[in-house]
Amino acid sequence: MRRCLKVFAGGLAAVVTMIPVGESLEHLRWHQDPDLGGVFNPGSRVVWRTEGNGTSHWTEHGIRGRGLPDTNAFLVLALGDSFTEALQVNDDKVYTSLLERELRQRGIPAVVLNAGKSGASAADHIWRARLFKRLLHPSWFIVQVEDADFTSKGWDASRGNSYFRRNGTHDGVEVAPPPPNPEARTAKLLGKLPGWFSERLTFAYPIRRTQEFQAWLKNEPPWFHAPPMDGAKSALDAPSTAQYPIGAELDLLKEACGGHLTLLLLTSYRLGGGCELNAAEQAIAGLARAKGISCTRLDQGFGMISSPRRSPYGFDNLLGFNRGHLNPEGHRIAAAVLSRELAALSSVHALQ
Amino acid sequence: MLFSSPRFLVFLAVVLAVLGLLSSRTLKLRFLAAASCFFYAAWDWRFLSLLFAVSAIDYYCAWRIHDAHIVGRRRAWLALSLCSNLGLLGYFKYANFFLDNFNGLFGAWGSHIPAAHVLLPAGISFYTFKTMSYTIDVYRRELEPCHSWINYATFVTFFPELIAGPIVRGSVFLPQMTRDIGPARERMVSGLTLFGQGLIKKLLFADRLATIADPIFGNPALYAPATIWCGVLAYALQIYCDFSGYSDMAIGTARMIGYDLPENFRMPYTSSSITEFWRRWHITLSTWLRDYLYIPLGGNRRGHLRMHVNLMLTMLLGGLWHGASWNFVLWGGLHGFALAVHKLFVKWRGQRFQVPVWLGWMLTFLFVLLTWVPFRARSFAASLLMLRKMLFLGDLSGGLWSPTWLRWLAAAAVLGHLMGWLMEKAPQAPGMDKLLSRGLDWFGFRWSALGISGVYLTPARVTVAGSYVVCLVLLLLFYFVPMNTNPFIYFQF
Repeated sequence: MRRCLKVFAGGLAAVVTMIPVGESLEHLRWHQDPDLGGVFNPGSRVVWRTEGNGTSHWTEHGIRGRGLPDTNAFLVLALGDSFTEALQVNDDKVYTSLLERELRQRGIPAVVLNAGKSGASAADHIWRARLFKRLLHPSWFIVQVEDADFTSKGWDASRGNSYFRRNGTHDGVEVAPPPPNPEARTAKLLGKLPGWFSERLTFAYPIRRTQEFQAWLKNEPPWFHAPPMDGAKSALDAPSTAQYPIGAELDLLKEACGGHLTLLLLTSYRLGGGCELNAAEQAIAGLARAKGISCTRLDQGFGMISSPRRSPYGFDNLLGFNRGHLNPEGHRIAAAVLSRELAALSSVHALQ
Repeated sequence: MLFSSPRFLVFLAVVLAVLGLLSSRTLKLRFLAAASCFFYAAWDWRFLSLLFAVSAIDYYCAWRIHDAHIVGRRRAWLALSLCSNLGLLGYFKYANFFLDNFNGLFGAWGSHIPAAHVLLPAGISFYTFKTMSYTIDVYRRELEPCHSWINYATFVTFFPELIAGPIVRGSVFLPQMTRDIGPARERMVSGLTLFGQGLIKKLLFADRLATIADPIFGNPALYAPATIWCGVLAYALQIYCDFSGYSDMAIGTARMIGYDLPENFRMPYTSSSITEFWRRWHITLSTWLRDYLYIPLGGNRRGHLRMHVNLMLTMLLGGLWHGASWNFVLWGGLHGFALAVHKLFVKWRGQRFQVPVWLGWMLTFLFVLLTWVPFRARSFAASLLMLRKMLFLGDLSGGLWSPTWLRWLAAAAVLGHLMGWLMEKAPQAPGMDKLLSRGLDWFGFRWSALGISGVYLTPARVTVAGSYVVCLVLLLLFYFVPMNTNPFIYFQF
């Protein structure tokens, strides 16, 4: 009995020690919206230190940093994945905030809203653009994308988001609604905890970790799986190389945004400012141009990088130089290329 | 089936439970051999036959060596055993390396041999060395051949050390086979503690450090010299935590089953000379190379020049053992050269003066750090690029990245090494010994000598402070361990 008490006392002290440790890394509270999926609670403050060191504030419909403006404003809505959500940097350093400032300096009194959502793909952007059109009536969309958004990631049905699927015709593509989200269970379980506990990472995290653990177990290779003798990759290892109908996907995106959109294509950075577009990136940029979609690429601003020893991607506390999400330098460049593009578009001036 | 995967924990629990239920020693050994085969088959069932073939050849050869009374015959049987082991190792591990080099050398004259489609069987470098040491020991009459095929098969296939060592010799393992095995309380406690220590090293340190080292070694041209230094330091800590963590887990698992495996690491980064480093790093490989290669070559008995040649040859082959690449040969060669220089220096110095321990430590650590570059780098060119940047030569351009995690992990590693070093030195300083014992006792731990397995921290009693530390480590593991665990580095060798 005495031993058990000692173990309990030690264990309790360890849990109490972990509360500030967890708090210092992540502090997030979110819920499952029936239409938008998992979004941060309105009025919540998110602290994120596992990559970068950022604090963000969230309002209705998973919009970052500010309340919804009045209906007369020229509203620009930015859709994107974790690069736009940008938990790694503070509210005032995200490209949407910087863009709003730059547009105003250029005489465009726009309000730029950030609706970035971690894990979203092009299919998800289409799904959400349709929803936001009804909810907020934005005048213009910025859609931040990477090559995988139109290829592997966009067609992956297992991510809990909307995804592309064939609709039977030769090149016909449609966007499937998001499947029941596995994270919904986490949200439900967290909802049952009293507020203070559900907000504390120390108590919320075990639920998430357990689910990650379950997913990990599911993904273990089968027993006695052996690679082929000739050294070629097996079906388990080889990624699919199917061709993706990027043109049709862009058509859907254009239609969902009512034709009022600018793509922000995040391209990889090479030391010294160079950039070589891969096949998918070239296809996205080329097809967008052909379809009359305004498209700007991050590499168009690589010349603005302050020093050859800096990169638009990556933070000191994770992964590496030039790997990871956009850092403040990257957000600054993204805002600069976007403001240049938007200011040059006559359609934007006509809509004001 | 990685030691750090849940699947292995289930497998181990089943093995221990069945061993606890079986009463006959023979049955237990048969079950253990079967379980080891199952473990190996989970890696790649097709090479199980190779494992059997190697075991059968060496078992048979050992008996023929033992029974033969004519020296020539004994030598012939030994040669057969060595040729079969080295032949298999050479074919599976080095065939393409030699073909590539042949094609590179003679390609200009139009001779080209296509590459062989061969896969590296898991653990082949380790089990061939194990079986070779068995037949050599029998040849030297230092070991009686094993009387039972089951015992011998259990020795060869023993799963805790089958894939990546420690390299256990027959003379160490076979005498233990007369004991009753199965879970016993004292062995379970110490075994589980060792396994836990290894798991912490692997999951909390090695896998986290890999996220720092991998991008830098993956694309060194991208980084500035300071960042390259960070990456190399991260790799030095990663490979130590990875391999010594694996060894701890193997020793702990074997201990739970009922066997003792030899110590493989003894805080190598506290070494104050390169000779000391090799007495502390991968001990079972370095002693194997010493006993079965360096000494048979003549060791230090044939004059100084020959000693240095022997040393160099041993280290070059030791480097090549790690993998079919010139990078490993370079790594071995650099270590061989450093060992030779150290021996010359010690001889020249004589009694004239003593090198301060801190200076010796700094020079050794710096050298070891630099030699990890060819060991880990993707190619010879990448090694050169990294070394040039580290030594501030040539093109120094590149991005700066100072990973925050590295500071914390390096601080923890320094603290761990400092504690281990104090423990090692404590017996020579009674006051310090008392102080450390009292401190450990407050946490409910003690420093236990586990026979050939070395000295480890084991629990002695339940205290609040001890429970706090254990629970905190468990929570840290739960919170920070990356879910996609990397395979152990030494599995590729």
